[in-house]
Amino acid sequence: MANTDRSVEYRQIMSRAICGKGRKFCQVKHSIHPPDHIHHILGAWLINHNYESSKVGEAVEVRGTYDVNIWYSTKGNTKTDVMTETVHYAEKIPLTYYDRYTREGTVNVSTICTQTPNCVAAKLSPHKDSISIKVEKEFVVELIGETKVTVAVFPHELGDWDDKDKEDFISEMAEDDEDDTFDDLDPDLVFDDLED
Amino acid sequence: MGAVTLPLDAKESEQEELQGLREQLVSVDHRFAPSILLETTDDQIHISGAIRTSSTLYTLNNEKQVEKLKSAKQHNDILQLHGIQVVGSSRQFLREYVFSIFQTKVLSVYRSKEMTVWLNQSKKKQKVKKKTYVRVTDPDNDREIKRVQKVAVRALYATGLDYGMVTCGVGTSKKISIVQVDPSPKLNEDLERLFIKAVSDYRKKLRKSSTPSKNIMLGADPEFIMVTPKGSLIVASKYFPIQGKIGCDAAWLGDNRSHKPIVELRPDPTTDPLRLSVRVYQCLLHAAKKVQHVQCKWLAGALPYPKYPIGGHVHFSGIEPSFQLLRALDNYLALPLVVCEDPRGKDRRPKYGFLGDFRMQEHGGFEYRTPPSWLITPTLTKGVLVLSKIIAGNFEQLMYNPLGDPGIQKAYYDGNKGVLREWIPDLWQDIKRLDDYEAYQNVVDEFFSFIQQGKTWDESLDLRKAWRLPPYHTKKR
Repeated sequence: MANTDRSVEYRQIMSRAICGKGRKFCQVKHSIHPPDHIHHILGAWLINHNYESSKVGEAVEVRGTYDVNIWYSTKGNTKTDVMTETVHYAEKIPLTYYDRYTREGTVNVSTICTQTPNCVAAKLSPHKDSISIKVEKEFVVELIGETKVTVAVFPHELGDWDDKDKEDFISEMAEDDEDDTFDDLDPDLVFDDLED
Repeated sequence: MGAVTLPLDAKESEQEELQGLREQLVSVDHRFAPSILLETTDDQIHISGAIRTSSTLYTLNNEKQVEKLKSAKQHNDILQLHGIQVVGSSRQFLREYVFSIFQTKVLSVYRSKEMTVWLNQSKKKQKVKKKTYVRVTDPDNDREIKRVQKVAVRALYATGLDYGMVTCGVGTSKKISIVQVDPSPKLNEDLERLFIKAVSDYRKKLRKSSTPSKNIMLGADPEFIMVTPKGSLIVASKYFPIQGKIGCDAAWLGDNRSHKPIVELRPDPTTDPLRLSVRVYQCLLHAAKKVQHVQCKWLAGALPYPKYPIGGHVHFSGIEPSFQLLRALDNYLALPLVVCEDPRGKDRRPKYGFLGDFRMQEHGGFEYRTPPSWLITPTLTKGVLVLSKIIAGNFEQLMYNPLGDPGIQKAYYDGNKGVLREWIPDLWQDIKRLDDYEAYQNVVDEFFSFIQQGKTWDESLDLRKAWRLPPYHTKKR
């Protein structure tokens, strides 16, 4: 069949589109060496969060840092001080949706931190030789890249279609779709005499 | 303040009506009435010749339930029975939410100010600090709120109430717990207005006649899984697309999220439940053709494979999901299914298959998610779909609410068939009273007699045998 005989012609167009999506909630524990003479932890706060992301295989890797600030007391709760430590992290965000037909080299990663790193618990070990803090954060990533999209183009002017019965067209297509194996099983007939 | 009795009719203008309601429903200290009784005259009870005995329709927040919630222990026991996490001894959350809810509608959402700093609060001295809450104006755009809100509505439903204020906390690891379900909350002016409007709208809806059952559209998305002869799960997405009439559920297997093991049938909706059953059969037949070359067993039921609970959700449109409708579906559909389920299925609950599980759908209707996958046999399929239709069209006339009793609820979650079976004759009899029964008499009777006989299904059997699908289509025809 010649190409021109088809009523609908297909074209491939290049387009930038979302080619991958992922989301990850992470909970991690850090162990921090405490200052000398620490008596008690009074509070913990994470600030200065920075991150970069890149595509690694079929996932996105987010690498970043934040500063852990720990407010603590010394000398039997008579003085307080703050210590700061920068923490580095790398998180792999799996993609729930990924289109393999994206053109390599055209992909950009867009990462949104939907929950900035937040300290939810901090604890001093019994021997006061380490502080463990629990941190929660969440990322949403999107891959944007070039991909081919196949679209149906109508070679005739749309005006030509106006007087055609569109429903006939659709039902014809539906009939073509029918599979004719198991002809002996007509749902309407069989269904009524099904017994367990 | 005790229960308030309101007339069903409001003869005043809307503004006068709302003002009147405020005077009756809100106490001097701004607390909302804990329960409301709507008074009906005999004429209103006999709408269109049928007797509406379902008193639950005219009672908002049953007084007995309200009384029970006063005890913190009972309050928590009820919620836990329904699989809802309650607050433990330490009330430490990252965020708290307060929802005002009337049945399935969330009227407002307030969120506590977020704590970005972790501060040491030694447990001994801990005082319950007064939290500051801020109203969230666009709750629909917040992923966390959508999650917490579902739990809040579920908690309200579980406590047997119709309206109230639900306080929830979100802890570490995104764990959601219920702090309190309050049937008689203290309200500010905005909330007063919202609650009063909700009561007034409800009263208006009751005065109107109900949706005729012929207008109710029914759809379904029953699921099944395929296992190899040795019993391991087959990745269904190898054979079926994700979308489509025969597609795959979003759940994944192992690390690769594109490996979908659960097959989901999505027959087109229709107003005729028997037509829908035929469409289910057509989908099954089509699926059978597609995998005829694969050596496997098809399993339905509640939990045919560990950790992969499956469901037989029924979709409704043309009708709103009120708590009364959900309660009717629980009592007349979910309860009988537990009586005949495979005993292994009880582990699906309460994480899934909990009472009153529903989800709003984009098409404007809703989906009832409590039942397990009833693809087991054609009798069950037809029975479930026909009953869904009958219940949705007539729930105002149904009489019984056995699941209002915590003992029966416990039997439901534990799969204690003996206790539940005693209710089958009454439920069956009640369905027989309805006008719609006649048209579907055979199907309903077959369904209930299957259950009455004490038979249970075996979810390790290939469902294609019962449906006489290939390769079992030629046997004993």
